[in-house]
Amino acid sequence: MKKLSVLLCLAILPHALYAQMGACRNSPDLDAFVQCRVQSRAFDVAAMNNKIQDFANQSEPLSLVENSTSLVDSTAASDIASVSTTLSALSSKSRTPNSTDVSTTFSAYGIYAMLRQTSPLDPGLFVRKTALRGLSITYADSFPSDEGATADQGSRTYGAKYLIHAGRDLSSPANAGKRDRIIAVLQNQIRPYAQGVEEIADYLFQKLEPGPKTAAARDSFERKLADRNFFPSMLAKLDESDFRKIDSIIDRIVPSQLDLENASTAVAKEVLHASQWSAGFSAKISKGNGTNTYRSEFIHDKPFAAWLKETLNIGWDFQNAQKPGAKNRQVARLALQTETPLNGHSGKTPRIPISLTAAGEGDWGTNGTPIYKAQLKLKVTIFPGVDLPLVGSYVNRTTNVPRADLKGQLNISFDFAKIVKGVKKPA
Amino acid sequence: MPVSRVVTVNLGAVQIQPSEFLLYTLSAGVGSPLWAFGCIEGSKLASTDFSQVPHEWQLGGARPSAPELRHVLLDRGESSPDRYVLDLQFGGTATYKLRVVKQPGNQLIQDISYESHINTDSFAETLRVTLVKDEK
Repeated sequence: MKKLSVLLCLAILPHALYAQMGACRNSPDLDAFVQCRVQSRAFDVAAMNNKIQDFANQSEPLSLVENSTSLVDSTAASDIASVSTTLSALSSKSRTPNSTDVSTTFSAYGIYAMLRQTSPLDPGLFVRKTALRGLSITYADSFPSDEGATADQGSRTYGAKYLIHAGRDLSSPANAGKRDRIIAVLQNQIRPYAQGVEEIADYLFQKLEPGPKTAAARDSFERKLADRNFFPSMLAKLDESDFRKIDSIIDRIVPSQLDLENASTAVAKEVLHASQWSAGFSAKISKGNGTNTYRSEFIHDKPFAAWLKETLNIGWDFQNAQKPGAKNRQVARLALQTETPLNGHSGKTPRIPISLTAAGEGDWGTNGTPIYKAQLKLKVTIFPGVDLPLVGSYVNRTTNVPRADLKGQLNISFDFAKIVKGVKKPA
Repeated sequence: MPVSRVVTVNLGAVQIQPSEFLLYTLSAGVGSPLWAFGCIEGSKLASTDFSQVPHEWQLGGARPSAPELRHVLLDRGESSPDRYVLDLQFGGTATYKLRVVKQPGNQLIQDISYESHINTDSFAETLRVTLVKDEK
C-alpha cells in the first residue's frame, strides 16, 4: 500500500510541480532553490508537527501522595523540574479527608545544571547527560485541612524514579542505531546532491552569463547564485524548457531524497511510538502515628497511536502500621491508565490541548480486602507545561471506612522544561 | 512548512591556497544534531564523528590548525573546483547555526541559521571550493 502511494505520488508530481513552481521561483539563492525543487519532486511525507514533547513527563503528584490526582506514575519526570499543588478548597467533600498537597520534582540533570550554574537547555549538556535526565527526585508535603484535623495527620512523600529504557528520547543510547540510520542516508545523499547542484550551476552559467566562460567568471557567477538580490531575477529569465532540463538533473537527486525522507519518517514514527520502562520507589511517611507506606514499582508507557497512550504500573506496597493493634500489610498493586486527546486530530497541535484519561487500579494484599479504584480525568494544558487536571475518582472502600467513596479534585501543575521551551524559541 | 533559513553571509564560492583552510563551526539546538558533510567525491564527516557541540572541523590546509580539530583534506587539486555539501536533518534538533571562516585572515564565508520543527525535514547547504596556487 505504501509502495502504491509512492508510485501514485510520483505519477502526480510532474503535474503538481508547475503549480508549485511559483514558490520555488521566489527562492533567495541556489541552495534554497534546489532544496525546494528536490522536495517538490520527492513525495510529500506526512508532516509530523510534534517535536518530542513527551506525554510521559509526569508533573502531577506521585500516585502515593495523600490525595494524588493520578492513579499511575509515568516513566519520566520533567527534564528540569516541576511543581504541582492540589488545593483542598478545590476538592469535593467525601469520606476521604481532604488535604492540600504540594509536590516538587527535580531531575538529577536539573540539579546538576544548577550546581554547574549553566543553562539546562544548553544543547551540549542536554545531549551528554541523558542518564542524569532519566533520574528524578520528588518531595511532597500533605497538609490536612478538614475541620478538627491536626498537623500530625499529614504526611510527607519522598520518591525517586529512574528511566531504564528511554525509547522516546532520540538522544538516548537506546536510539543510537536509529540515529545511525539517518546519518547513513545523509551520507549517501552527499555525492548525488553535490554533483546535481554543480551541474545546475554549470547549466545556469552557460545559459545566463554573458562574456567569456573563464574559471574566474564561473566563480564570480557562483557568488551571484548565492546572492538573494540577484538570484530571483535570474530565475525569472528561465523558461519551461530550462526548468525541464533542471528537473532532469534534479531527478538524479530524488532517489536519495526519498531514501532520506523514508528513513526520517520511519525513525520519527518508531521514536514517537516506542515503549519506555522505568523503576520507581516512593515512601509516604506519616507526620503522626498514621500508616507509613513504601512503594516499589515498574512503570511502562507507550503511545499505541496519536489517540491512545497507555501507562502501566506493576508494583508492591508495604504498609507499616504505627498504631497499637493495627497490622502491617503487603499489597500487590496493578494500575492501568489510557489517555486520549480530545482535540488536535488534524495533526496540528491545538493552542489549548485537552485530553481525557481513564484509569483503574487494583490492590490485593494481606490483612485486608482488595481495594479497587477508578478515575476519569480531563486535562487542560492552558500553556505548554501548565496543566489543569480535573479529576473524578471512585474507590470501592477507603482505608479508614469500609465503604465506597467518590471524590472530585482540581490540580495545577507546572513543568518548567516545557514552560521554558514554550516561552523561549530554540537557540 | 519548509526549513526556515536565515542567511547573514553566503559567498557561495571560495578560493583557497594550499596554506589556507576553511574552519567550519556547526552549533545546534537542544537534542541530537544529525548531519553529514562531503563533496562530489563522497561523504567525509558526520555528526557521529563528534562527541561535543559545537562541531568544528577544518577543510583544506596541510595539517590541522589545532591538535584536536577534525581535518578534511581537499579531494581535488589546483584549479579543479569541488562542491562541498553540509546535509542537515531536523529529526534530532530543531535548529542549526553554520559559520564557515577562511583562515588565516578570518574572512567570513558563510553564516547561516536554520530552524525546522518537523522531524522529517532536511536541508543541504553547498559551497564551491577551488584550490589555487599559493601567492607566496
